Amino acid sequence: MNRRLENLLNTASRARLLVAACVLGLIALTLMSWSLFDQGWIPVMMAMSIGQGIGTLSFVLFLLVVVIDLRKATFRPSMPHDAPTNKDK
Amino acid sequence: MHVSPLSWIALACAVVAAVIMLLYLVYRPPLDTKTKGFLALGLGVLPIMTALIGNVEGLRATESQAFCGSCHTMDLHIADANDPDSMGLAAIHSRTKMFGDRSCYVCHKDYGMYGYALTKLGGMGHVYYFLTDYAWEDVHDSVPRIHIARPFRNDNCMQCHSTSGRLWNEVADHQGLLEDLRAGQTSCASAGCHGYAHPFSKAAEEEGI
Repeated sequence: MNRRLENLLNTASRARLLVAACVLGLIALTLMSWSLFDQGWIPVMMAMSIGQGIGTLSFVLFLLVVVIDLRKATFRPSMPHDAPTNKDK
Repeated sequence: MHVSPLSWIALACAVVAAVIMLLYLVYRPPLDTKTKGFLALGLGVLPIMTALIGNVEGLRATESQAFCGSCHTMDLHIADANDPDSMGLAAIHSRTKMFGDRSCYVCHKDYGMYGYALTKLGGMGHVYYFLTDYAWEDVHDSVPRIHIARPFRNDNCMQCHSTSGRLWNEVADHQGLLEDLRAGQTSCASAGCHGYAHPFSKAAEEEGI
C-alpha cells in the first residue's frame, strides 16, 4: 500500500489529478445543492452520502497535489549556516 | 418550496466554488501559489461550508412531515394526520402547533440520551425496507403490512403528559393504571384507552390478516 502511494506520488500528473478533482467537485456540489431545494428523502440522502463522499474524494485529490508539490520543494533550514570564509580553509 | 437563508449561503458557496473549478478546467493556469490558493477555496473551504450547512439543513429536513411523506408508502398516514375530521391520536396532535408539520418526528423520535442518532439509524432501516420491499408496491397494499418497529413507548407521550398533574390523575383509569402506564406495561395508544395513533391503518391491518 505504501509503495503504491509512493509510486503515485512520484509519477502522478498534477494537472490530471486537479482536473479529476474539479470534475468530482462539480458533481458533489450539484448533489449537495440539489438537497437545499428539494428536501425529499432521495436528494437529502444523496447529498449526505454520495455527494459528500465524492466531495471528500475531490478534496483528497487536491491534497495529493499539495503533497506532491511539497515533496518536490527544497526547504532551507530556518537559520542558514554561515558562508565559509578563508579562515575555515 | 421554502429555502432558508442558511441554504442561500450554502448555495452561494457552491456557486463560487463551481466558478473557481470551471475557470480552472477552462483556462488551466500554471500551478503557482495563487492558483493553488484559489483551488484550496474552490475544492476545500467552500465545498466544506456547503456540506456543513447542507448537513444542518438536511438533518432539519428529516424532522419534517413532508420528508416522511416523500415516500409514497406514508401517503395515507400523512393524509390521516392532516385530516381535520380525523379523531386519531396522530391527527389530534398534528393539529397543535408544537407538533404541526413535525408531528411524525415529535411522536416517533427516541427521547433517550442517544435519541437523535438512534432515530436516524431507525430511519435508515425505513430506507432499507422501502428500497427492498415497499417501493414497488401500491400504498393500499402496503398499509396492512406496515407496522411500527417496536411498541410505541409511553415515555414519548410522557414528554408532555407528565402523569403527575391533578387533572390527569382525576381520571379513574389513569389512577388505576398509573404504575403500569409509567412502566410502559399498558399502552396509552391502544384500543381500550386513547385508541391507535393511526386508526385507519389498524382497520386495514385486520382486514389484511
